[in-house]
Amino acid sequence: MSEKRTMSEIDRAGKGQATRMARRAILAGLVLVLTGATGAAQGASGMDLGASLESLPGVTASWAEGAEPAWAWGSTTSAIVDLGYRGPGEAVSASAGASFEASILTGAAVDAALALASLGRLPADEAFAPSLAEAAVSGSEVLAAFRFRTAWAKLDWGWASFTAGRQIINYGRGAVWSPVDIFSSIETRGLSTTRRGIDALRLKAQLGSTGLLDLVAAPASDTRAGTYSIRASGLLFQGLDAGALAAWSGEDSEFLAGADFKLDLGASFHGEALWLHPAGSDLAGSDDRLQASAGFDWSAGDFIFLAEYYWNGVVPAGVDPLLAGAHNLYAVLSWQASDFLSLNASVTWDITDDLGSSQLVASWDAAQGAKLAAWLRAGRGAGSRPWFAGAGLALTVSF
Amino acid sequence: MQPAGRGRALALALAFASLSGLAGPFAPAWQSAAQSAAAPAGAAPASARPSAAELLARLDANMSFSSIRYTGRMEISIGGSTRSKSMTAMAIGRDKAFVEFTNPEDRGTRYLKLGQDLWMYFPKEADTVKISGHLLKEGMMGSDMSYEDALESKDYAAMYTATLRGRETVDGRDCWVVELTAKAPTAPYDRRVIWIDAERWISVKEEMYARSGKLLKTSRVLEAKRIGQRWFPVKSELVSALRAGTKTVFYLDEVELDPVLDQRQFTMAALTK
Repeated sequence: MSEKRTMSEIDRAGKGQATRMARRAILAGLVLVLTGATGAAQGASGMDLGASLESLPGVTASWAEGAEPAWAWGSTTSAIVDLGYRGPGEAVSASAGASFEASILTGAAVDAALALASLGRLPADEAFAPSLAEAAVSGSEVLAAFRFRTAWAKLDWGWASFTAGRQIINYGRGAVWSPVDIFSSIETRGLSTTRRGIDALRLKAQLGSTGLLDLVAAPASDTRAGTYSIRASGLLFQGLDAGALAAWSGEDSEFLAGADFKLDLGASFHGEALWLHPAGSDLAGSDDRLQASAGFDWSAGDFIFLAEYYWNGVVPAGVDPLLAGAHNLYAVLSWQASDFLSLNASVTWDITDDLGSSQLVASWDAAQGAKLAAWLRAGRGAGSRPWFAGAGLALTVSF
Repeated sequence: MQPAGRGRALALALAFASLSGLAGPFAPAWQSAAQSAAAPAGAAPASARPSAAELLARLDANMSFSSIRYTGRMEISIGGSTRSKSMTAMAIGRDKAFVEFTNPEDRGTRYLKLGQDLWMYFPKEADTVKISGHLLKEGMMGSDMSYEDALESKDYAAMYTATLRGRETVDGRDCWVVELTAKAPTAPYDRRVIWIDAERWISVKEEMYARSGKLLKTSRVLEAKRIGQRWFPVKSELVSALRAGTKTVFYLDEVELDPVLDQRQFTMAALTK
C-alpha cells in the first residue's frame, strides 16, 4: 500500500540497496554453510543446484486516437540460480534455500522499471546499476538489476516447521486476483505474474493430514509497521478446501480478516474475501473496506476455460497491486493443441474505468528444458496515449 | 495458460502414481504388472486351464503391496522429439501417494494424493492447487486414459465380466489372454484385453477399447526384473492408437517394495514444506 515516491526518495533507497544486498548475501551464505554443517554432522546431506535463463524481448506501440503511434522496444534477460539444501534428520531436519536473480533490462524495460519505481512498486532490496535515479537523469537505455528472490532457513519437526528469512508466502486461490494473499506482492513478469519473497518468520503446524495452522510475522524494519497473521486452512470435506485468516497490518494500521475456498463440483469454483478495518475507526464500519474475488474453471476435451471477477474495495487508483479498478474481470481459454504446444486467449478488463487488454499466447515446449512462447497483446490503458498493442517472445531454458 | 500447465504436470505425476500401484485396475498393463508382483516367481499353473475369474482373482490377489518407494523417469516421444521427466515417489496402499519431480524444469513440483483428493504444489510460487474434478476427466498426456482412470480403486471383478480367450505368446512369454467386458456404462472402457504372463504373473500387455469398438491404446511391459520373490516391470510403454507417432516409456530405476514409510510424508505440511 505504498504512496508515490519522488525521485530523490528513489535515490536514497538506491544508496541503501547495495549495503542490504551485501548483508543478505552474507546471511544467505551463512545459512547454507551452517545448515550444511549440521547435515554433515548427521552423516548425510543433499545439495540441490538449479538454474534458468529467461529472455523476454518485446515491442509495443502506443497511441492516442488520431495520432501517430509511439514505438518502444526492450527486453529483460535474467539468469536465476536456485540453491537448496535438505538435511537428513530424524526427529528434526534442517533445510535452506536461496534464489538469486541477475537481469539486464533494455529500452522499454528500463522505462517500465523507472515508472514502477516512481509509483513505489519496486521493492527497496532490488539493486540497480546504474541506480534508478542516475538512469532517470542520464536516460540510460540499459540497466542491470540484482536481487535475492528468496533466502531462507528452516527447521522441520514433521508436525511443525519454522522458517526464517526471505520466503514466498502464498495464500491465494485466484488465477489473477487474490485478496487474501496479503504477504507476497505480485509482479508481472513477461506473460505471467510472479510473487516476490518477503522477509518473515513463519511457524507452520500440521492440523490432521490435510490442514495447516500458519503463523507469520513480517516485522519490516520497524516492527510496528510489520504485518502479523494467523491462518488455518484445510480440507473441510471431500471437494472443499477452505481457509480463514486474521491479521494486523502495521503499515496501514488495519485489522484484516479473510476467508477463502475452492469447491469442486465437477467444474471448480473459488472465492476469497478480505475485510479491512482501520484501527481506531468506529465499529459501525463506516471506514471498513471489503475486497473479494470469485471465479470458476471448467474443461472440455483439450480446452480449459477460467473466469474470475474481482472487487477491489474501491482502493484509490494505482494502489491496487494489479492496477485494478473497482470491478474487474479476467477470462482465459486454453487449448492444449498437442503435447508440446498450447494456445490461449485471455482478456483482463477493468470494468469501472473501461480499461483492459487482450492477449494471445502460443507456448511451445521446444526442447528438453527449453520453452518458447510468442504473444500478441492489445488494449486500452490510462495516460496520454491510451491505446497500445505489442508482440514479443519469452524463452526459458532450465538446467 | 496456468490451468493447462497444471493439468499436464498432474498427468505426469499420476502416470507415475499408476506405476507405483496406486491406481486401480483401470490403469494399463504396466500398473497391473507392478501390482501383481506379490506372486512368487514361477508359481503359475501353466499346465492347468483356470477360469478367467480365477486368473483375475489371482491377479487381484497379487495386486497389492503395503508400500513402495521408487525413483523413476518417463520419456514422452512425439515424432522424433523426446522429453524426459524424472521423479521420486512413495505410496502407502492405494490411498496415499507423494511424488516429487526432479528434472530441471519441474524441480520441486510435488503431488499429494489422499483418497480421492489431489493437490499439486509448485515451489516457485509456493502455490498449492487442489486439482479440480473436471481436470480429472482430462486425458493423460493426450491419451484417452483419464486422471480418474488412474485414481480408480475398484477392482476388475467389480467392474468387468471376464472371459478367458486362450493362451498366446507375447514377446516370447507364455500368456493367458483375458477379455474384460464392462458391466455398466460407467466403466472407463467398454472392453479391455489383458495378456497375463503365466509364469511371472505380470500383465505384459493390455489393450483398451472404446464403446465403438475402436482401439484406444496399448500398453506393454518392455522389461521386468526380479525383486526378491517378485517379478517387477522396470520398463513399460504406453502407446495411443489415436495419435500417430506418440508413445511414452516409463522407467523405474530404483524400487523398494514394502518399505516403512513415515505417515507424516502424506500430509499437506509435507506437500508444502
